[in-house]
Amino acid sequence: MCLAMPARVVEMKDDDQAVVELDGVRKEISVALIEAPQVGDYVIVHVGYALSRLDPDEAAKTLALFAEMQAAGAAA
Amino acid sequence: MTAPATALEGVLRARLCVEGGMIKSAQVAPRPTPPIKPLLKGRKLADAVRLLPRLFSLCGMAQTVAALGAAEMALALPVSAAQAAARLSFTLAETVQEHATRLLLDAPLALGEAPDAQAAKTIRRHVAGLAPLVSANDAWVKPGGGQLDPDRKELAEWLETLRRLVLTHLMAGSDVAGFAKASELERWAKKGGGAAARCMARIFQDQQASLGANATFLMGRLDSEFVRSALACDGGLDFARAPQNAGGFCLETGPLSRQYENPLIKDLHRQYGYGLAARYAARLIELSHAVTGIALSLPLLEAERVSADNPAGGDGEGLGVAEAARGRLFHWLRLRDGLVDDYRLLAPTEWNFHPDGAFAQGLKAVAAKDDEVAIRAAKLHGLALDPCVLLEIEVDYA
Repeated sequence: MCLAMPARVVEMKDDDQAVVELDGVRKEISVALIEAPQVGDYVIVHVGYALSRLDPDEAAKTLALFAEMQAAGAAA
Repeated sequence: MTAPATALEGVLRARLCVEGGMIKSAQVAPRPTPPIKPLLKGRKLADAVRLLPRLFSLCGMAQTVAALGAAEMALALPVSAAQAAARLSFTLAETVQEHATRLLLDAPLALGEAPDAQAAKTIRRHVAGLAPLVSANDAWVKPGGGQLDPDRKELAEWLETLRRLVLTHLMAGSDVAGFAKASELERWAKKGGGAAARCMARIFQDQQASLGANATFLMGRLDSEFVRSALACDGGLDFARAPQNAGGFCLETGPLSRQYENPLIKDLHRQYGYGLAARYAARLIELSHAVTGIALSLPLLEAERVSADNPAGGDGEGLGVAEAARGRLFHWLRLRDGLVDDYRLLAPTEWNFHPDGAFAQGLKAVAAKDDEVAIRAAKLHGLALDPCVLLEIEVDYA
């Protein structure tokens, strides 16, 4: 299943491209599907496209959930 | 050192054995499933249900509906026709959004055609506007149902816009669901009216219509009591990783398994088997049917006020089912003293990518002169079955 991990936009490029960071890994993606993306936004990425944007509070809560899952998985 | 959070996303590893210029077998290892239980255990049911859609990027509505169904069975809560209609219309709208994304972005990229990001963006933005017209602030996400305030005038306009967007951006003006023959589909594709039509034309032109064809049973009716007991037992997590039906057979779930009785799919099956052409045509047909399904659901919506209290609950067990865009989704949970004690998910991917399932069977005897051709075939077939899979493919030569 596709987990909705928020990735942070760290650089905007031309032609609706942007660089996002997740877990310390940077990747260039298309932001053509979302409105007016900016550096610092959190987005959900699927096959090279940002599908949606999360507000920072929402992103922080979601990242905390995944961290909880990660810890639970490591402990299991 | 702690593994990165991205490691939670289970990668599916497939090893293709190539012999004599064709794929002899595809060995698939079931992927690890995300640890949902420890995340939800001890939470109030209503909180758990609201938390789940946060975790899934492509099928949040279907996940929510399956979770609500499981919660309501566990609590023996009735659900009104209006609540059921709201959930169905949201799930169908999500299906439109996901099929549109597949046909306008993923499939063109995989087939070497130009994607249409603008159309995908327009449709995704429009679909996102449905739920707020029915229930503010996701109030509907509540076991037993939440507050509904449908705006009938706005909903009628929303529906007409959706119908127009689908017809314009995905069907190139012709409702593919009305085609009865493969030849009609091929003529429509050759006109090249949009990314979806160009993909279909590419599939026929490259003689890939049969790619992935296999004889795995399609999931039609499936005994929910069998699934509930298989998920609930001690080996439930093993079942959720590699499910088969009560007879020990693998099943394919998804648009094809829902649309196989359509005359166009029957004709494509006769000519090409259940391959790429049938799977993508099933998505096109389903787009049209989903819009019709939403049109039939919206009149059932009524304003409803419900108690702000969350149901207390005691002990119980429940199974929820939802038809997600990519196939049938099951949630099972057990309650103790009103709190989640156990939670298991059975995703469509696990049926389709079972070691003996539609993915593995569909690659047998596929022509593959080298690694590149073999990997491309596996990726195209995998994407047609399920876009929610991170596939890692290796090729061995006998």
